[in-house]
Amino acid sequence: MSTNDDLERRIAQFYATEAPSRAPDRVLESALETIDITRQRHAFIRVPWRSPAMNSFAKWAIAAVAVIAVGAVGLAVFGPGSSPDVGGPGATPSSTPAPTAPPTPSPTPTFPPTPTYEPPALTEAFTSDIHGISISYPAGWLSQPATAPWTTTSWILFREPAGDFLYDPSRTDHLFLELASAPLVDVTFDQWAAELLVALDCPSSEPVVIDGADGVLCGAAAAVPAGGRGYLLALYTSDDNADLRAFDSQAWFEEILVTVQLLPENAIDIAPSAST
Amino acid sequence: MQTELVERARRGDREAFGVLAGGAVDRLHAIARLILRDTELAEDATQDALVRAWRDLPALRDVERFDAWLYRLVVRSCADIGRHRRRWRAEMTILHLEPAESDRTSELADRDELERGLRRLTDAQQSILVLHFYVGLSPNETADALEIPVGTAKSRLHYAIEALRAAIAADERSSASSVRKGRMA
Repeated sequence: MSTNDDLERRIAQFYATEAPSRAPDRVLESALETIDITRQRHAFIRVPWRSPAMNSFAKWAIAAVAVIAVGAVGLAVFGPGSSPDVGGPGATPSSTPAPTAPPTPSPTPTFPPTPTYEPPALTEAFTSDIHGISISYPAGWLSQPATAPWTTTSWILFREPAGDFLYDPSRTDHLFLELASAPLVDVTFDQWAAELLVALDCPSSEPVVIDGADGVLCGAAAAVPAGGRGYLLALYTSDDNADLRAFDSQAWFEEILVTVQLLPENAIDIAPSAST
Repeated sequence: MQTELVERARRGDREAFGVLAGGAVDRLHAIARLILRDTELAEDATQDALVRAWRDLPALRDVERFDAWLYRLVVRSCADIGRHRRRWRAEMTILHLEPAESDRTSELADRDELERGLRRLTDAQQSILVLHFYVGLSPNETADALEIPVGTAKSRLHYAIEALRAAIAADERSSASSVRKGRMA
């Protein structure tokens, strides 16, 4: 009879002799060909679930109509006045939601609510030491100011020195704001922004006005010019978290953008470190 | 060095990713081959894992765990491909080789016995055996790679070994029965 150790030794030996030492060249070649035409996924470039033209009021109105409709159907079917003649006098719904008051939560939900991130109020202010920008951010979030210039036209990994990062300490790299700017040298803003959007794998962009300047918005990332500089602002929300996946990050990002002040005169372009 | 390449690849540098993929493809292919026990399917799983790696790399939170993350991706690709395979594998009859014959060394018979036993395991069982006994991951590392609790990784490994032992025993009984029937005929 084989002992445990004996069987485990046999498995290891079997794998060692059975495993191919090299993959055929076509495996890598084929994968790289596919990768050449495959976009990476960026968590701040997501197709918004809402129409870009939909504002907060419209969302509340739709929510109100939905709640009332669900309540009306519930009353009609299960309510005290329900009878075979569904739709009778006891089931008359109100069809005009009050536009000035937000809807109250339905007391008898008929399905489990989708967990959605509730963004905190933007009560704190951050002013960048080197990027020439100030912005409001939520209470309880932490900041990590940039300590190095932004020298590439691509996004900056979480907590890399070139970016200003404002982040939820309980979620760190799953939920953060990223800010950076760089001088536009021998390049127009449109050229610079186009290159940046390609780096971000942005499928399409829309115009946005930030602190009076015309920029471009793609999901929860924006680029805007001011004083000869190009600015990158992005809200990163990880798809790893169900509540963040269900969250309309672009809508919140646009609320945050309203608080932005572009201060290019305060920007400092530190010389790159010689050691890097 | 690898960390720098991973960070470059995360930013969309295809050249950096090509270097990473070139360094990992043999290992991933070997893992896929051992899990799926099929050369062509292993090639498909390896390609699929590399494309997934490129596509989802920006979501990798800790670049230091790139290798473990790659193992997870190739195991997932094997599972996906394995699910398709099961649709037609049910129609197949497992070919039982006769037990050791006079011209066959005991080593060869031993290997055949293990091969048949492994083919009876689920893809999940195969995966954990390969990660532990071929890649050499500890239960903690295996748990990390598969994104499961350490306790689950340990018990899954234990049950995979037991399932293999039972499969081998069943195979021996089946072979002995065939031989008896053959002699009676």
